[in-house]
Amino acid sequence: MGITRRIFVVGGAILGGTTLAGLGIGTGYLSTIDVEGMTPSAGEGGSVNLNTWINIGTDDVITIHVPFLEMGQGTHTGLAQLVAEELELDLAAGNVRVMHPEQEFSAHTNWAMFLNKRPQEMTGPVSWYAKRFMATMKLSATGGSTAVVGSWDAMRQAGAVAREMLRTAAAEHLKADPAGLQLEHGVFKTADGSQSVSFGKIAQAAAKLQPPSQVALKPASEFKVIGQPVPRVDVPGKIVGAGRFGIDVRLPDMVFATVRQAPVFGATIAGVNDEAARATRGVIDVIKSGDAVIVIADNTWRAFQAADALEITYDAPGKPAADDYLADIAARMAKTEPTQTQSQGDAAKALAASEKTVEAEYRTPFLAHATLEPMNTTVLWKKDDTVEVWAPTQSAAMTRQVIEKIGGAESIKVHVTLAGGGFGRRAEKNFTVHAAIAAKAHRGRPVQLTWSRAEDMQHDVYRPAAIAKMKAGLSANGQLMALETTIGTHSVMGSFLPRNMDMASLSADPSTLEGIAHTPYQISDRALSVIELETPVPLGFWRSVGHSNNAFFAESMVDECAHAAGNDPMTFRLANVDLEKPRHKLVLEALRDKANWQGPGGNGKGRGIALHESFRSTVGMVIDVEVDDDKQVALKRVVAVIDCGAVINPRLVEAQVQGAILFGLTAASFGRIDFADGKVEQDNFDGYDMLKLATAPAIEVHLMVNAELPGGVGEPGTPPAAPALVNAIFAATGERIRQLPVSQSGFTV
Amino acid sequence: MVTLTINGEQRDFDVEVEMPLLWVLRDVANLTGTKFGCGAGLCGACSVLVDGEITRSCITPVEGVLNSDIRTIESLATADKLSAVQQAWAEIEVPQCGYCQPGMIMAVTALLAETPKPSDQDIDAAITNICRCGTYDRIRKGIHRAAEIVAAS
Repeated sequence: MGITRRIFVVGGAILGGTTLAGLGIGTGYLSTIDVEGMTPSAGEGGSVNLNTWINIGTDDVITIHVPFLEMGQGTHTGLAQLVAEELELDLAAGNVRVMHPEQEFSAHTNWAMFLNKRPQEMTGPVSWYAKRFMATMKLSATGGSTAVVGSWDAMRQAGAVAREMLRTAAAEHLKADPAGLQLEHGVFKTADGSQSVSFGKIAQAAAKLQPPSQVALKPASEFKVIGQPVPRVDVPGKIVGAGRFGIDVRLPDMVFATVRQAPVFGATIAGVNDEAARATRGVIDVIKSGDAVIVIADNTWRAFQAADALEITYDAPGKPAADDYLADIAARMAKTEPTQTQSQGDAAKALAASEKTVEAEYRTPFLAHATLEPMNTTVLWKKDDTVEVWAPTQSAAMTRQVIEKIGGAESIKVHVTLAGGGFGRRAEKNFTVHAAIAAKAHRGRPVQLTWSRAEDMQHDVYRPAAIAKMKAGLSANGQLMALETTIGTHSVMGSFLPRNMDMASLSADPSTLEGIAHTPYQISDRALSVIELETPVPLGFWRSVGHSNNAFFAESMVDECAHAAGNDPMTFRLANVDLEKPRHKLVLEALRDKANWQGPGGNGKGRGIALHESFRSTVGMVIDVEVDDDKQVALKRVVAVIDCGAVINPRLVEAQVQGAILFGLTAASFGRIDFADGKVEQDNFDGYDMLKLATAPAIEVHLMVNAELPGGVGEPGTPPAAPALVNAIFAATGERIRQLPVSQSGFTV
Repeated sequence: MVTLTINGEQRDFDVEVEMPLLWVLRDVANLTGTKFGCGAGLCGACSVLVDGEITRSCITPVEGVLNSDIRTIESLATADKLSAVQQAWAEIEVPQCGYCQPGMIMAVTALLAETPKPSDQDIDAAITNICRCGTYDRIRKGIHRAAEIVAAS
């Protein structure tokens, strides 16, 4: 999701100045970084936190803290498996509880996000200082497909360190040899089985021990939990209606609220007539706040009714979004200097020397996240100014900062609930602000504020629209020689930072380049320019962020080149794939075999390929479509191959890849946000359609087996979906779609 | 004051007759298993059974269900036994975020009551709920599995 690539740049500027000092410090300090977060502390109710991730209760219940939002990706199961492996636990045994921690953790729980590096790569004094600096901040956040990447070593170490501390305490307690103790289900037994002691009885003693600074982690050959399709810990509650999402929080004396925000971004309220709203049954208060009006009532429906009865007038907005925003991007691209450029070799010269050139322009729209659980937050601002928040948030830290900015809170506790989908939407402050304002105005009563679906769709933080102008050169034997790309788009970070972090906008956002600065192919001469244009439309991290646009551009162009070269799209990719990254070729070969590739087809039946690396994983997919004479498209079947390195839970990976592909196919089929007079037109799922059972294809997912470090799996399935679809439609019909969604070209999925 | 029969229990609610059943369930009766997704009958997250018929409660004013048997997700399992659909959902591990699943499970429960052994075409026609996580593959498998469980019992 990329929140913190930028935070790191800010941190990095500070760190740069301290690097020299860091070089003077000996390596003795550096060795401690591997056990960050391992200091024991007292937990609630006599329990013991053996380290950041593991709590042992006096009742022998072992709680594994997973400091990531469970929004469907299975993170509470997958990451708990890492601890369970080393602590010899069975997640289904009944003595293990997995939960989002109630206290906020610092950046050490996910260096992969906050420093944008694998923890294993963080060696040397600069990393040491970066970690010291970041560890002083409460910075928990979920995104960027980083949870597994950042936790792979840390949570296994947490399990191993806790196990060895408990073992020492158990040996002491049993007066036995620690090496001879057997561990199972939270109980140590002597070798002869005559004596035993459970975790709960020795946790206090274990917490007094010095955490070992070195513990050997199990080799993969000894894994019993990692790599297994361990059942999800959240499923039992979710199938009986007991899963507690943010919107399900119920507290004594709670009131229900909603909000109406200015329909045109940036407009301000000129006047509010709330007479009818206040006369609505059950209405408790109407509060004007900035560009929004909050209605509080005794249930959500009455709040909605009263909000409908508001008469709000707005000052003429200064900068409404352009109705024809793609034409606007095209016009401004022509007269704006690039904000970022990258090149390798001499693309212009190589294009001039090419046997054949292929030129195309691709266009993508703004997109909404449309999580099924609409935006909501519950806030209790107590009369003593202690504040509790319940939120389905991708960042408890950001949620806390909302309260801090409002001011006047003595203390703040953020309870992270389950989330009904996230996709990047919940890494944002705007769904908490109005709940907090309402709660502060009604201290002592919990306020749950829920957005209507229209509010959710019209006040999202959108995936930016983009235009790519591309020119590729082919050699006489059909090899890719050169690629020139100019992208006109908007900067997500440039929108996110001022809105959420009170930080200045930035002129260069790495997410506008991601997925196109590097492609899986060997192209010796390349030039890339990105023109980041201002927009009044608020932008956010939409599942796979810049990759969602750039993979469509890159993999459409590669397909066009294959056609121009008169080559089969699979053969062409195999002939051009970058051999310096052998894993890409292996994915393609596996895909060719698993999909039983016999060519792209034709005459209404087409197969389309796409291959894309993102978030430290690579996904290749083939989609089969059938297209009739009325341009009705049936999505028949998808075969996908993912190389995400080590797999913690194959069932979770399969589900994430399927879901990410459907997320991408839904957007490519229907997704488009339109503006009329600066206001978002779509207000519900009838105007912003989704794939359903009847239209969604079956998706077969194959996992590459290797011993590489794990990559992300939440997002990498999304980027290849759109290009695979348009490539398949081209194969079926000969019509090349260069603008998403495909419905813009008259195709109906 | 309106009287509703929810999960076999008669309860009185001091609400307007035009209030949608969804909000009476969630905000007044505190039965939060039934979800709010769209408020327009489009996504199916609010699906409940009304006299056995699948019903989108977000667009169903309570005046239309005053004398009906209303069943929500909370009613399907007994203390020690999941319903056939829930068993299949657990076995196939259908949910991801799970927000749509109460509505899905209710819709599938209604489908199987009507069509004990549905074909894929039956499923496509009957289940029009939205799952944003994309669990459709497993929903389909779950429906076929639930049909087997029902048939075997």
